[in-house]
Amino acid sequence: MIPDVYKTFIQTIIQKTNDEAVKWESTRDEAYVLRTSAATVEVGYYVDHDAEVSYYYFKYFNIEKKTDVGFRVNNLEDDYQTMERLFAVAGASAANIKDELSSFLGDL
Amino acid sequence: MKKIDFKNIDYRLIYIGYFIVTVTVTLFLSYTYKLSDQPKDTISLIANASELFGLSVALTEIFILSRLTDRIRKSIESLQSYSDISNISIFLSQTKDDLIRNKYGKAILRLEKVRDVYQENLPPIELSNTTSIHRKNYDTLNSMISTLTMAEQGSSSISKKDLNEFVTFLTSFNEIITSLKLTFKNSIL
Repeated sequence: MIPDVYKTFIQTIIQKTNDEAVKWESTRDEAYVLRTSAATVEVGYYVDHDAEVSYYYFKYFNIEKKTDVGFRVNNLEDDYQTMERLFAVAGASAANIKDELSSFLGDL
Repeated sequence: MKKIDFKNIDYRLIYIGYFIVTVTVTLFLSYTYKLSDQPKDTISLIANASELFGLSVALTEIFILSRLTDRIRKSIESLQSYSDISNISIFLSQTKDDLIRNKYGKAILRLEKVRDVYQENLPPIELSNTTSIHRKNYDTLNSMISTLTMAEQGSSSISKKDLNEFVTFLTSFNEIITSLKLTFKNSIL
């Protein structure tokens, strides 16, 4: 589950992403990052094929302090949907999906 | 017409200019204000002019030595960075082997070392710039470490797709490291 200390932050980030106040970038396949000059937030999807469990993970890296903290939520936990939502909006932001979809509709 | 290479001219030639200026100023002052009517005044004037000339030379030497010391210090720092960055290339190659052999613990340790050395040898502004290639590489290294740590904790293997992606990144990252090495090498020379 999402630790309490991160819950408000996650909700705020989802809201800011929906409002297009922040722009995510793809850092590799199934992982997205949000950068400031001092820190990076990463959200990613990971499947443990051996255990047949999927995870969404959240990481916070502070460059100057070298802080590396985060958590992961598996598909059996309550907060999985929240993380799935965060991952979806991050992916949509990274792909600039709003413009893409408008363009698609325009091309129809 | 042959161009003059100013970099290879001995800076001490400037002292000829100092000497000419000192003598000219001394003669000018001597004739204008009658400073050398008596032999002892002449001796005093020559002594003062010599002192002025000596002081100018000494200050110039101090200035040149100070610049030289700075340049040596920067070269030593570049040499240290060159040495550190050279080790990264070796680590990257070993990390690829670790990943292929599923030795994630070793790969994590090497990647953490690579990340830290990379960070220490970059100007801080490169990492604080959210669009720089170095910041993207730094984040990708952290992302790889996160994924490998999860695989290590779960005693599972990373997917073939992740493995290919990591190996491809390490190969392209090595090219950037080679470019950085050249930058440090040039600054040493």
